[in-house]
Amino acid sequence: MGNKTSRELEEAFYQSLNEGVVSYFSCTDLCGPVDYTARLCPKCGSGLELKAASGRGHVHSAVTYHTQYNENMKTPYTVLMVELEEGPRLIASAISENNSVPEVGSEVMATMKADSVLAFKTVR
Amino acid sequence: MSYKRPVAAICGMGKTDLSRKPSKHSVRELAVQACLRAVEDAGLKKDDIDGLMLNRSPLEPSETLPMHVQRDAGFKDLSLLTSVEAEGSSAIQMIQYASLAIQAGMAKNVLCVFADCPVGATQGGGATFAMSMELTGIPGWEAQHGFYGATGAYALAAARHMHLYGTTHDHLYAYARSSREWAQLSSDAFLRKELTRDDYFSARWIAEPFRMFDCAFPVNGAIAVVVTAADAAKDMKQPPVYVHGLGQGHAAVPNFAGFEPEVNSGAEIAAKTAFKTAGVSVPDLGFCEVYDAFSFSGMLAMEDIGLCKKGEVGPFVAEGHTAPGGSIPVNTGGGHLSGFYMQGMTPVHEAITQVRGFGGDRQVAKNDIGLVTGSGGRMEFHAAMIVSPHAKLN
Ligand SMILES: [Zn+2]
Repeated sequence: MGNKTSRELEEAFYQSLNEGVVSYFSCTDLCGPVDYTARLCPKCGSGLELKAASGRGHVHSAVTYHTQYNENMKTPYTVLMVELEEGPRLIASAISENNSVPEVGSEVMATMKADSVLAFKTVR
Repeated sequence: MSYKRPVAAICGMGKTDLSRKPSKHSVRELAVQACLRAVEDAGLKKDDIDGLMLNRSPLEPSETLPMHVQRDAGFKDLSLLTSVEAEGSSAIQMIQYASLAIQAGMAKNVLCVFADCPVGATQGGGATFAMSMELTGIPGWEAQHGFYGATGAYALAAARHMHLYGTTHDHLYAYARSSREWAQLSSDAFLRKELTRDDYFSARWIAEPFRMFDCAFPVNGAIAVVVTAADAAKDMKQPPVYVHGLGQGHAAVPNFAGFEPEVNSGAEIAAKTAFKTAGVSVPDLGFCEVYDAFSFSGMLAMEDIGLCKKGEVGPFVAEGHTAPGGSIPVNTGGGHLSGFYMQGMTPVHEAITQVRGFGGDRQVAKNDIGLVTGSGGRMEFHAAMIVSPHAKLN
């Protein structure tokens, strides 16, 4: 344990999503969760391992695209930056309900769209 | 860090035609042209140049602007040749490394050049900002969610600032309007028509909260400057532009609970270092030229420099402080939004113009001390510089 390569960590991250679980990277020693960009613990240099997140979090920020950069993405669509309750932040898709998407600051819960694409919806 | 002060001087500047049309010339050819014009502007000969620093857009591969530019331009026997790849902070970084090299005796006259052709036959330059921006480092992650470009990253940051501090769309408009008012006075600017409220708010959304006039105006071209020793500059062809302060700041704030990388940037460290090396502070400034590829990036720079308190830049801009006639002129050539987008060279070009006193209708009343900034990445890589027409500041 503890010495997963970057590639193994990234593949395991996608694999967990296929199983319906959003996960984050955590120090194999005692430092806890780390930023998603880390591939070694930024505090102690130990390796990282995957941990399952609760799926709960809040919207740190959001952007709504109106310019079509990718023909598969129908505009307008909203991209969220979600802060998981465990601490790490990541980009994810937004679930629109009643014509509204989660706002900055609102509590959200992870859910999977088709093809295991991670999205978040407002907790009511 | 200890510098001899002034740290150096900028004695020459060369600019190709800037254009919205697809360029007949390659980036490499434009760089050569800007270099040769800068040498001529300085009243130097090609053989006087002994250092060359290159900077290309971070979206272009290295062969776009190779070190062979030296041979293309016919600069022989250089003692300094390199490429700086610090994105939007590169222009000031090049001037900083050139200054240090000159102080150390490594070179005497160093050319620093940026060249780019983002506007092609089929696209208007918006693709400059369309690369997928990796925030997690997990391959394909951001693209899967349609998170593209610097536009998205800066829009996220602006939305965060709005949430934390109550910054509004009216504040973004006030910033774009201030830039445009300066551009209306500048013969170098591309967008010179009045920007009414209606023009701003009826323009299309790019990535909310950004509308069209929150985004830079890309052009094709190149700009080069010649850096020389401070004492060499006083008797040269052009009025000297003394460099008194330089600083970099790269904060690496994590995307993690408790941190706010969107609203706290390394620009604060860069500016503090530049102020310290120059021995001046914010109230001494007569004008500022900040890197503002988006309205919000310019606004954030103003807070981090210390023109106003954190979170208060919206009202600060709306009160007109930065516009013509305001207390601290900012982006007097219209900046990236209304002037032209030549990455880090846009604010450098305007600062040199102001210090020389060549601003024409847009010339600021107090050009004694100016602050210039550059930034790249997702509010990550920063550099700042203090310039003046005077060899002694106090
Ligand atoms: Zn650790």
